[in-house]
Formats: sequence, structure tokens, C-alpha cells
Amino acid sequence: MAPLVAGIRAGLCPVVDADGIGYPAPALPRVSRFPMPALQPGEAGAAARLLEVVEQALGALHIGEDALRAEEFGLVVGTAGFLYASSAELYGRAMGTLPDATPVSVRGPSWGVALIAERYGLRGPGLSVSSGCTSSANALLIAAEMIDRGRVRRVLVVGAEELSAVTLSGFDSLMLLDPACCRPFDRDRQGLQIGEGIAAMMLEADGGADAGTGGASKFARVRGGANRCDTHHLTSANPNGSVMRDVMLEALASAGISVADVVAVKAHGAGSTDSDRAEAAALRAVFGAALPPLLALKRYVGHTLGACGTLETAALMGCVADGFLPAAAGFRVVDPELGVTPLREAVPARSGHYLLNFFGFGGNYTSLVLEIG
Amino acid sequence: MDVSAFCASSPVYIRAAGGVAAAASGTVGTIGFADAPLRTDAKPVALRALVAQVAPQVSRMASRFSQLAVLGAADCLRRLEGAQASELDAHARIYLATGLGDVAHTDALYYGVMPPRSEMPPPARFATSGNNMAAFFVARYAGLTSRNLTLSQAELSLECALELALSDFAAGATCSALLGGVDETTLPREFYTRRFHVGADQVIGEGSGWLLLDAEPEHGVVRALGAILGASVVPAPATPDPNSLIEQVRRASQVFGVDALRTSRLVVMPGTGIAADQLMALQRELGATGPAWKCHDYLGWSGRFPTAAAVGIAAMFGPIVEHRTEGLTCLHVNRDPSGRTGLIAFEVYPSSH
Repeated sequence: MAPLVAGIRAGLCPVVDADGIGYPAPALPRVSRFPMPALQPGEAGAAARLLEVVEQALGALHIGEDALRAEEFGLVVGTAGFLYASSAELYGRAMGTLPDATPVSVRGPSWGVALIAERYGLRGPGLSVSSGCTSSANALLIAAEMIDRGRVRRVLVVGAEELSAVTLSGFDSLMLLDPACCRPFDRDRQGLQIGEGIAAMMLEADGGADAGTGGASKFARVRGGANRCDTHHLTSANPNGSVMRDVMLEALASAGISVADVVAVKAHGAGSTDSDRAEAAALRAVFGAALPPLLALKRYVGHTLGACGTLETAALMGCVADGFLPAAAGFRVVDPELGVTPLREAVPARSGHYLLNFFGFGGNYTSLVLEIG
Repeated sequence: MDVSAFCASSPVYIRAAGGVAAAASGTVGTIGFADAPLRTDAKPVALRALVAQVAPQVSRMASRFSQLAVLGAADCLRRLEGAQASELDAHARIYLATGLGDVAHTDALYYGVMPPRSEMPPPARFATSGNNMAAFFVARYAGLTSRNLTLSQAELSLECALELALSDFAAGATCSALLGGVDETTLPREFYTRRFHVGADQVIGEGSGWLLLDAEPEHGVVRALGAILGASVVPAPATPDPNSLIEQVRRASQVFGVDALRTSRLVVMPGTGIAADQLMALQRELGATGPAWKCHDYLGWSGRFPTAAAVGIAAMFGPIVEHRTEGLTCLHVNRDPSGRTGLIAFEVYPSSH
């Protein structure tokens, strides 16, 4: 490897005094704070929507303030670009109806965490995951690990994504939007159907046995999961699906189950030519001819990008609770190249282990194993 | 929460450390890439030529934030010499911490798409705009296909990422990880300081600092450079307490085993969020309890940015320290505006270790 022109400056900077290391006194003015800017009009709406969903989730579980402020209460937010809920803001400035006084993105990726933590006075650990379309799936996985490892007793996991002009026009510029909406695994599929959404889920230790939440959280259990990176291409999955296969197998292994134990698969099912081809190859490699019922939800809710982890997981849990697995809406024509066929019509749901796939740009792939019912 | 709530049950070793950093201090910066001083509102140092030299496989379309990430990771990994480099475990996980993410690249997209320009974004520019693209490019550069996470928690992003990584090591989920902190300067400077919520008088900077972590203290005959003793983010005190920081540092020293390592020199590294009065109090307290304690204010050369701790810590394994005959035990202390405290304890082994 060629030497760096600019290496780290430790060896080149006078940071070491004659006696050892460090300055005897601060060399710089210490931190002074610019006040936290007030919410801009575009941000205020996004913040209100985020907090409304969290309020609904917490209200449904009857979690009191003391429990929220316990140090064993964690918060993990997954989002690809929630801080850029600013299209209206920027448009207003361009039209002269709003002052052009602040930068578009005032907040960092952890803004959602800060909003929720401040609103509810949370004192436990907080973290934001920004891994593109797997953001909130990874948030779920991290939250489950935090509980398994005894870090916390309870974690609120939130996935959030708002529609933006950049997202829409960006996928359009990549020619990845299907004018006929999402057609997962369909021969004539042409791309994505962009959605927006916010979904909050509560993960609790021991199925919430000590939480006084009416057993609601006993409905599903995170049994395992895995995350991997496919470095094949920025936006295109390796068509052989090898890394997708590996992440599914790793997730099943972490859950301690075999492929025969999976009662259904919730596909990522983006509807794009490349992603569906790779996912189908990976599913064939994992399940062979014994692929269990294959669901694809994006025609119903759109591809909510960083929010799809929690949003599609919640949707699946809702379907199973109502006793059915939905048909893969948008699918009509079998693609012989893929060798997989998603559900054509709704079928009764079974209790058991569900494999959920979430794949995204930057080769970031996550699979979760949930025991539902 | 007690500091002991979440520290590694055993040390995680540091095989390599490195990175890049630049500071812009008011009118003229003292540190810069390739000795190029940064001025207020000067155009940020171009990185593309450096990336082309060091990591030609990284796309020319990579954003400047991604370039910064790759340069830092490359500087870390190039310190693995010979056989060590080929031993890099393909299963090593990547944890990229960032306070602000790929903000400049994405902002530019917004300004292009919205009126008055109302343009379609260039496809490649949109495709490279996600916050996780930097970690993708690092993975591609290093050939790593395992877990790949981009994590953020404002000014305690590095501490949170390190906490998570240590918990993965402790659980046996991984035995190798590349962990870094990356943030870039964005202009105009006024916008940068507003995003970062710091005063206009602050010396701003940018950088990319990385550690290659490992569960084993040595690989063949090559020993680790040091070890992470523990990391923790401690909640703000329920009621304001001017002494809470001192107490947390004192407690962390005990829990992380820093106090037990009295044969080493002890170094406190105040992070971006430590105010002047807190630092003075910290120095008074440490001076009173142990003359061996020293304070290392790395922000003087790195400048202030949300993940400056990453380059501050990586720099402790730089050329001068590498030739030390005695070890250092370091405690990085930081605090965010909400009052949470981030603590990282680590050891720098002497070169004869």
C-alpha cells in the first residue's frame, strides 16, 4: 500500500511535552454552546408525527413515567434520512414564504433519539442507527441484543422515514421507480414504490413478564438475527445472492433453528429487478425446494426505507395476530428466472418462527428471526 | 446508571490505530492535510487525490464524507505490516460513529432538487448520499463483509458505538472489529457551528479516527498496541450536581481498573463537551489525588467535531507514543448538552510490551 501523504498528525504535532504527554493547561478555549435552535416549520411537523406515534405505542402499553425514566429503559431509532424532513422547509424558503436563516439540515442523524428522550425524560441508553433501508431492522437487532446481554430491561425501537423530494427524484433518476407500483418477484417488475412511515415497537426482557403491560409484548419474540455487508456494488446486489444467503443462514443459526423450522418468510421484496433476483437466488440456496410461504408487503405500505424494519415487522405481527398471511399484492406473473413464487392469496397464519429480510443500498443486509404467536 | 453497568468483562485489544484530521482555527489553522492550512470558510481540503492514491478501488463518486472515512481507515490498516495485513479477519465488523453524518453531500442534493434549481439529482450522486455509504466504502476497501453499522448519538456517538462493540466482544459475537469516528467540516462555518450547537468562537475541525480491535492480545509475534479497558455512557444526574463529573471519573477509574494500573502514567483526555470550569475542576481534583495524572487536550490540533474523540484516541498510538518505554493509561471524558457523560478507558502499551 502506498504511504499516505497525510497520516494522522500525532507524530507530527507538538502534543507531547518534555515530561511525558499532554499540555499542562488547556490550549484552546473550551466549549461554548450555541443554543439548540428552535424547530423550523418543516421540522416541527416531522417531530410532531414522530412523537405522536411514540405516544400511541407507550399509551397502548400503559407504561408509566417512572418506568420510562428508569435507567434500564433504552431507546434505539432507525432512520436513513429522517433529519431531512425539510422539503417543505426548503420549498418555502425558495418561494419566499419562510426566511432563509438556517441550514436545511440543522440536526444530526440522532435527532429522533434526542426528541423522544427529551419529551419523555428518558435517562437510559439511546442510539440512532443509520444504515439505509436496514436502519430500523438493525435497531431491532441491537435492541434485542441489549436486552439479552442484560444492558436494559426494555427498549423502545422506532423506525422513521418521511417522504422527501430528494428521495423520490433520486430513485427516479436511478430509474428505480415502478410506475405501476411495487410488483414483488413479478416478471414485469420495474422497481420500487416509495412510502413513508413511522412505527414504534417495545422489546422487553422475559416477554414483559414484570412490566405490567398486559402481556402484549409476549406476542412475538426476537429469536435471532444477523447483519452483513455485500461489497459487490453500491446499489446492486450480487445477482448470485451469496451474501443474502449468508445473512439468512447466520440469522437462523443465531436463533438456533433450522430452515425446516421456518413457517414463513417475509421477503424484502423491493420489486426491483436486481434486488428481487438476488433475493430469490438466496432463498433458493437456503430453502431449496422447501420454501415456506413467501410474503411481500411493500405494495401495501410502500418501501419505507429506513423505517421498513419496524413497520413491516409490526404489519406482519398484526396479520399473524389476525390469523392470516396476506397475499403478495402486486404479484401477477411468475418470473421463471427467479424460481420463487410469493403468496398469491391470503393463507391462514401459523404460530412459529418467521424469517424477515431487509436489504438496502450500500450492501447492508439484515435478517431477523421472530417467533410469533 | 452506575459506570459498571456496561463495561467489557475483559479487555479488548487494539491491533492498529490511525486516522486523519484537520482543524480550522479562526483565521488560520495550524494543522491540516498535507500541511495545507485551513482558513475560515476556505474550501475544505480536497481528498479525492489522496483517496485515489491510497484506495483506488473506492469509487470516484464517493462523497467527501466517505472519502474521509476511507482515508482514516486506510491509515489505520496500513499500520498492520506484512503478514498481519493478510491476517485481517474478513469477519471483522465495522462500526462507524458519526455525529452529523454525510450532511454536505445530502444538503447539496436538496438544494439542487428544490426550487429555484429544480433539477433531477445525478444518479451517482444520489446513490452515494446515504449515511451508511461511508461504511460501505470502508468495507469494500478492507474486504470486510460482516456486520456493518453506522451509529449516531450526537457528541457521544463514538462512546455509544464502542459500548456496542465491546458488548459484541463480551458476548463472543465477534473477535475482530474496525471501529471509527468520522465527521466532516461543512461550510459556511456558521452553519457548521449551529449544527454542532457550539459557539462561533470554537476551533472547528474534521477527522476520521479508527481502531482495529481484537479479542486476542497478540497475533503470532506481534503484540497489541494497547487495550480498551471499558466504555460507558452515564445518564445525567437526576438533579444538577457540579461534582457529578468528578465522581463519575473517579468511579470509572475504579470500575475500569484504571486505579489498579498505577505503574503507568495516567492521562485524562477531555472531549468536545467538557466546559472550561469542568476541566479546571477535573485538573484540580486529579492533581490533588494523584500527581501522575496529566491532562491531554488533543482538541488543540484536531479541532472540535462530534467524533473528535476518535482521532484523539487513535493519535495516542501515533509515532511518538509508539516508542515510549512506559505505558499510558488514558481516560477520555466527554459530556453532551443533555448532561450525559461518556467515558472511555484505554491503555497504551510501551513499545517493549
